[in-house]
Parts: sequence; structure tokens; C-alpha cells
Amino acid sequence: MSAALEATGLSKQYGRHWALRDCSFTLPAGRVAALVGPNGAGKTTLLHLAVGLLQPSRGSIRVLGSPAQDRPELLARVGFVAQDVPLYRDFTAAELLRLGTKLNARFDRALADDRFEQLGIPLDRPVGTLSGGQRAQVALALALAKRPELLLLDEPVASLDPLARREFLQALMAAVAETATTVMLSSHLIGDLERVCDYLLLLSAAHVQVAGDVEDLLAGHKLLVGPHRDPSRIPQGLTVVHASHTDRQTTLLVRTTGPILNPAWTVHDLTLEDLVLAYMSQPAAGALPGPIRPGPDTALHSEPTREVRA
Amino acid sequence: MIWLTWRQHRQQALAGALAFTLLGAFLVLTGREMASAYHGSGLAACLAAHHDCNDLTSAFEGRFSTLRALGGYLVILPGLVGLFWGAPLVAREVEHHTHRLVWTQSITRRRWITVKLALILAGTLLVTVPLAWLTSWWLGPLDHSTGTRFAPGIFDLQGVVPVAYTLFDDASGWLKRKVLRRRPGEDLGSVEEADAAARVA
Repeated sequence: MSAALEATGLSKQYGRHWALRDCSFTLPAGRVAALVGPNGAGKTTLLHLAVGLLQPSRGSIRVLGSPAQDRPELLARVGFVAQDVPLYRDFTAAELLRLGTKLNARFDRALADDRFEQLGIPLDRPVGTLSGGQRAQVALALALAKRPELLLLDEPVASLDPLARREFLQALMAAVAETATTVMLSSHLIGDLERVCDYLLLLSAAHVQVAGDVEDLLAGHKLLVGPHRDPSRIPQGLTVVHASHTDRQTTLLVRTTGPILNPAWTVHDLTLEDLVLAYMSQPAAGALPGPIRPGPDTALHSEPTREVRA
Repeated sequence: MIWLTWRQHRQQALAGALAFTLLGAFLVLTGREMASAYHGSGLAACLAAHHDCNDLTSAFEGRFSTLRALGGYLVILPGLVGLFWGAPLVAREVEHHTHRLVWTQSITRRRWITVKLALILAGTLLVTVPLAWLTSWWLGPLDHSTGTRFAPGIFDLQGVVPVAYTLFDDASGWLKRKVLRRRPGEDLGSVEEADAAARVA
């Protein structure tokens, strides 16, 4: 399987501030990836680097097999919806479609027209007068009409109400289900994306903290609840991501490869949201399965996670 | 891209065209009146014969002193063009983040900026050249009556000079917004400042 996105030591520096530092990951083609992280973690920078709006300070990012650049052949294969859904607000939806037709050699006008008709979006009103949900749908239609192989969306649902969020994500999933489009959409909340994505990229403080297939990640992490025990007496072979103790009870979120056999522990499965929140609360912990070649900054993965022996 | 540029800037273009048409009409009407007075009073013939024409000159000057003063205000036109046409060219896109929309379609940024600049340049020339020519004609009688073709403030209004100033102000408006990331409100001050600085120099 080829990679839709492949970052190697990708870094972006603004003055003395690193927006992204030594990020390496691979997003296989055909996946729907959630790009998650706290505000300021570097999500927007990463997407802008992927779509060629920014150039890396160091490292590289390959998009659909070639370096991300300001080239028409590559831009034509990538759809992008930027943060806050920028559109020319005095343009009507029809005029935006005309823009799409003029500026793209390949633009499926009929596809966009169909979407607008289904969603009841008026073609003849300035898009500035539409609701936020409708504007997001217009931007999505513009990006989808390029028939992109890779679709990048930067916090597309952040400003929408819950109903519009669900409608937007449903529309997105219905559209990409018919094609082999690879999708990466960012959000600072995983809750929105939990049902739609099958790949997770968690950024934290300019670094990739977790990257991998959602199923594998969920299978490889368990929540253990048991009687209170000393932090030094924890089952062997487990990597503790997050531990919390009360007087009577210890709760551990662990990374594991095998089954937990000790009957003292009650083992719970995790939701993706639990997993993401646990890692976000422990910025020093990391889980980087898959074909990742650690960069020079290997301390990230090894140092802070405690391997504790029973 | 040409359609997009027109669609984005058609309001400014139409407003500008209307303003320049009105101004042109004003210059034609008053200019004809001045020209007929210049020739009708015998001032033209007197000056051509190198006679002492002080009486005729002062009568002519007296009659049209208001127009001459008004004409002086034409000097701000290049600044206004820079302000309304040059400055928003890229800056408005960046302010509304729409550059992220247009730069991620299938055209390069180089092509985008080339078409935009070329069209704005063409539009500027289209209105400035005729207006500069008209202003030169309009000021003709006043120049000849006082011999002030090259006086500061008068020279600036005629021939290729206003065209050059307009292009300069277009570019300075654009650069200020682009490079210095000035806010829109500061444009008026900064474009006119640069204009004034260039004129003094």
C-alpha cells in the first residue's frame, strides 16, 4: 500500500519557535485519519506544509509520492479546506463553482451542483449570508469537485453546532466512501471524529505523540482497575501511559501486546476518546507503531513512559 | 483567473470608472470655458505676439483662480488609486484567509499574482493616461498665461508625471499591505505619506 502522506523529520520554525519539530509518520492511502492535538500543537502547520502553503524548515513531506510543492499537477490531486472555511463571502455558490472550473483543469461541476441541490443550498445568494453549516458544505463541495486523491480538512466542524457537525461529517463520509480518497481532518476534540476515522495522528507540542491504525491502537491499550497498589508493583511487560490512584483503587491505562491474566485486575476496553485524552494529559508519553524511523529526537518515545516491574 | 480578478475587483473598478468619468466631464466642461475665454479675450494672441499682457493675464487669472485652486487637488488622485486599487489586491485575501482557498486550487501562486498585477496595472493605465492628457490640456491656458508649466504642484499634474505617480502609489499601497502587514485603516495615511515623500524627493 502506498503512502498518501509521508513525513520525515518534518520541522517548521517561526523565529525561535518550533511549530513542528522532527515529525515522522506515514499515512497509508485510503485511510480516514484524525489529526488531533491541543490548540497550538502544530496541526494547522502540518496541513499547510502538506498542501504546499508552507515550506518545511527542515525535513520533508511527500504527498501522494512526490514532494509537497506549489505545482499545478500536485495541487490538482489534493483537496483542501482551510480553517474557518475561507470563501469569498460576496461570491454566490454558483460563482464559487465558476472559480473552481476556471482554476482547476479537472473540476466536477456536476458533482458540486448535485450536492448543493441535495443539501438545499441556494446557488444565487452570497455565501456570506448562508449559515455556518451551509458554508462548510460549500467549501467541502468545492474541494470534493476536484476529485482529489487526498482531502485535507483543517478543523472543518469547529465552528458548527452539533447537528451541523453531524451532517457535515455524514456528507464527508458518504462522499469519500464512493471513492478511494484518503482523508485527514484535524480537530482539537476527538469526539467529533471518533466515529469516522480509522487512523489517528496525535500531535502534542510540535511532536508526533501517537500515530497508528485506530483498531490496533485500541487493541493495544487497556484500562486496568484493581485494588490500590504501590506504583512499583505493576504487572510486568506493560507500559503505563497514565496511572491514577485513590486510597482503595488503582486505575492504569496501559499499552500491552498480550492478554492481561492477573485476576486482580478488571480489564476494560478503551474508546478512542479515552486513549487520546490519556495521551494528551501525558505529553511525555508516546506510541508510535508502524513503519516509523525514529529521528534524532528519540528521547520522546523512550524516556518518560515508565516500564515498571512487578 | 482573469474572470476571478474581474469578479473580485469589479466594484472598485466600476466605482473608479464612474469617479473618473465624472471628473473627466468636469474637466472637459470647465476646460472648454477656459479655452474659449483664453482665446476670446485676446490673451492667446497677445502672448503669442510677446506683448506685455499683464491686464489680460490678471483678468484671466482672476476669473479662473477658483478652478486653478481646485486643480491643485488633483494631486491626491494617484494616492487614491493606490489606496483603493493597489492596497487591497493581496492584503484583502490575506485578511480574510482566502489566499488559502485560491492558492490550493490547481494554479501556481506565481500565475495568480502575475494575472492580478497585470490587470490592475492595465486598469490603472487605462484611466490615468487619458486623465493625465485631459488635465494637461485643461491646464494649458493657465500655464501659458503665467508660464508656470514646471512649477512644483503644477508639473505634477501634467503629462506622464501623474501616470508615474499613480503606478508608484499603486505599488506602494500593495507593498505596504503585503510586506508591512498594515491594517486597512492605516493605508490612507501611509499611501499618501509615501506619495508625499516621493514628491519631495
